[in-house]
Amino acid sequence: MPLELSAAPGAILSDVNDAQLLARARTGDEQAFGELFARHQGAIYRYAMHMCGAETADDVVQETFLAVLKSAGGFDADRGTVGAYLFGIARHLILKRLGPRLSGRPEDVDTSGPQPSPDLNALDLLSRQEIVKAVRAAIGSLPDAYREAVVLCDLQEMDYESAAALLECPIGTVRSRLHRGRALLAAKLSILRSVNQAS
Amino acid sequence: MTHDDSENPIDHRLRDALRTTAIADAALGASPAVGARILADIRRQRHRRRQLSWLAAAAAIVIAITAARWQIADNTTPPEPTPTMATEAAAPDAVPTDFLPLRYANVPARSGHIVQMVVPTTVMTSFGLEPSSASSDVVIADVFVGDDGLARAVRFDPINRELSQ
Repeated sequence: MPLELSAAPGAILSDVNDAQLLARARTGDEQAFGELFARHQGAIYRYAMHMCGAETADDVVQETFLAVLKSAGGFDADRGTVGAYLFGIARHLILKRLGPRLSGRPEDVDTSGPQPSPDLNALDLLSRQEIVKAVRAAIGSLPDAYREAVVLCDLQEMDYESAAALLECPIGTVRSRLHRGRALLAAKLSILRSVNQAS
Repeated sequence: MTHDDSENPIDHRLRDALRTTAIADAALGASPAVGARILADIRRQRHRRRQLSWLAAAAAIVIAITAARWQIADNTTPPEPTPTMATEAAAPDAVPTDFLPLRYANVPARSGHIVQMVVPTTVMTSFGLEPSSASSDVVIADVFVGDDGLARAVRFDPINRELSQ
């Protein structure tokens, strides 16, 4: 959702890279900020929405960009992209909201209980809108760490390396969390079939 | 997906469902009010910075004027101070006053600046202070201005009155 700004005639920022936009935005350049915001706010919003709910996602976006604009240093182009930097700040804010749950060891979460064998045929019976609703609800019910892996890798299409850097864990851990997250997700979605059959 | 799923097999129906959700999610974003609020904050910060710049500039001007007056006064002062003048400089009422609270004294400030300015001695009277007997019609006022631009306290420095004459 692009931010509406009074653009100066001839001002074209679409070719300017993120790092330059960030530097300009920090000097008070509103157009540069508008372009940077338009490029990244959606991804940050969706990450925050899946992690801590739509009602606080706006706040996370706002605090993330304000933190970025107010801190003179912090971003090092050699260490990663502006997008990764924004995600890092957003994650820090999300962690504060979720408390110690996310920073704990998700591998300790007990997923060994009886789970229905995944049978996702029920998804064929659902409309596109129903699928989206069911998947969002199922993702929302996952343990935080698995939800984060699924959101970042499957919904945000982040590669394992970037996700590992963001989550400050080895790539193997990302794979493991994603594997468990998907298994739980499949189990939760397979329940739809029995619900559909019962109704 | 941009990552290699070969080591993390995924059911094609789950993958399709996630893809469908990702496409639907792509339309979601922060409300326009968020961008507007951030812009308003940027403008507020910029305004505050400008205010401080003006205050710093004003302080620099006042200091420059005071320094110039000092030099003029220095040039016109006899080289050998008379005992009477020395007594005057050491007079008890020549000590700077304590900082006196101003209107925004109760508003917390993390940092601030001292802005020095020349004011009429009548300002001292309005604070219930009596200008010293050897006073001129002006006095130096040190105003403590917080980082938010609000004046918190003031003190008057009678020592400098002679310099400003």
